[in-house]
Amino acid sequence: MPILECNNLTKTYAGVTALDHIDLAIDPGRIVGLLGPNGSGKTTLIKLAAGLLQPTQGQILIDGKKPSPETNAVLSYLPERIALSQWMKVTQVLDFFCDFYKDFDRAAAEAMLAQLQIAPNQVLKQMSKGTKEKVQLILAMSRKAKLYLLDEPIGGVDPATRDYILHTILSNYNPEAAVIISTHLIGDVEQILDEVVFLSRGQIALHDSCEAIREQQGKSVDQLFREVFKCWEN
Amino acid sequence: MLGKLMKYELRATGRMMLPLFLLTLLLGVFTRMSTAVVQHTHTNITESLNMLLIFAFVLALVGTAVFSVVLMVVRFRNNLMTDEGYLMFTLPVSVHQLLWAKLLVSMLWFVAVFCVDALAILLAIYEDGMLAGLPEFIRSAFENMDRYYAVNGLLYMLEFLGVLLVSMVTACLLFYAPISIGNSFATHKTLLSVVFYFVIQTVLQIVTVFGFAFSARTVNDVIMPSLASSPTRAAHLLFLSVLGYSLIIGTILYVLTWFMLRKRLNLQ
Repeated sequence: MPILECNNLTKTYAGVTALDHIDLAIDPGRIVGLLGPNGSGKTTLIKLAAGLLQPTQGQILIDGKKPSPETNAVLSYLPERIALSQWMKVTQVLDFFCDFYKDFDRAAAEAMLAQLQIAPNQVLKQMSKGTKEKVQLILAMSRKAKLYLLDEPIGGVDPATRDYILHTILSNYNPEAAVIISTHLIGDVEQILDEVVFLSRGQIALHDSCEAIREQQGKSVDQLFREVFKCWEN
Repeated sequence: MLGKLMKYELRATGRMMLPLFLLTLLLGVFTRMSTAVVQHTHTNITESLNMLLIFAFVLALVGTAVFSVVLMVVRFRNNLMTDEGYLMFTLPVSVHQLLWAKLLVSMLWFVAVFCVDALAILLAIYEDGMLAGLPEFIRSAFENMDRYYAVNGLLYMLEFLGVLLVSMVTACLLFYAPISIGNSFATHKTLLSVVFYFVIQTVLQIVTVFGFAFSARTVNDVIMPSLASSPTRAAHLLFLSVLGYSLIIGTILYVLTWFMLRKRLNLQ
């Protein structure tokens, strides 16, 4: 059974169609790149899966169920914004995650925080935006979830941290879990992706494995993306 | 999960409310001390200081109450309608639990403000032996109510408490509902929240006026006659009417808020 399934999924905002009759199935054990230019519907799709938006038409299923508190328990969501309370210390945020998520591995989170030299008693408000993003990613990846939704996880961090994040995603790989990564930085994530979904104006322009793209088209995902979403003719 | 949500809600709000409570109580003690000093030494400095302290104390009493209301509104908006909402609405908890955690903790602070302000006033005006007669006064008050008015004093207290609790929940929802509606729009979220606050207030006033007009006959036929023959029955009816009214308004606002957060959530 797919861990994420979209059937005829449509979302409109005040008459503007963000997602247009999407059919998609993601199986467990896959790392999927959700790729597309700005406004293509990537964040909308992720928000629908996280239950932050309601579909206008069609349905989205997580592990066979509509988004609900029950699906939130098996879904680890990393928003593109800093969603943590700024007044909290890192340890308090860890307590918070321990309290609400049964699958949260505190020891793993503490080990990753130590690797990135983030002090546990530091208040979030005192951190740089990049450090907050790292904390948020560590929290999301320290859960033993069935589905990880990572919205722009490497957008605001330096290239060295980018490598660390990709390593973290790979090292937390679980054959029963799927990871969906939404990003513009295709060249950086391509190495860890199993398959890609190209979104264009709310529709799926391509859904294929990275291997097939490389073998059949003789191009990297990054090259293909640049061709598909070319902004001007030379 | 409701308990855990309330724990974090208390932690987030307590870090602001508790220092205010401490300040209010300290000002109560200082006011009492300065009044004692003024009673013994009449100098311009001590009197001016005393006046200043009394002013600061009254400001703290009112400020604590006002702040608890402001905090109730701001906390709802910031924790659920801004970036923090991305975490709160993806927790494995229902929207009902999110709402009740906010409502119950806000009620708790309202009650705490009443208790702390009462205690602070008591500290500020304390005289030796002032409280000696208090237990006797409460006992005789209940006894007299039972004897002279043939009513159960405890029942009155329970009805009053019911009205108080339901009114507090409804008061919170009077802010929660417009904020949740205003934030369902793509832009001008704060402005629209204010607009919907006034829209809801206006609708409520119109409904209340019509409600009074329609119930005038009931008041004339049932409450007024019983007011003359049995004031206690009239008082019970009044309490229950207010309770019923608050309950209906509160339920409508709760369902509206829940619907907007569950079905029309639109975080930026």
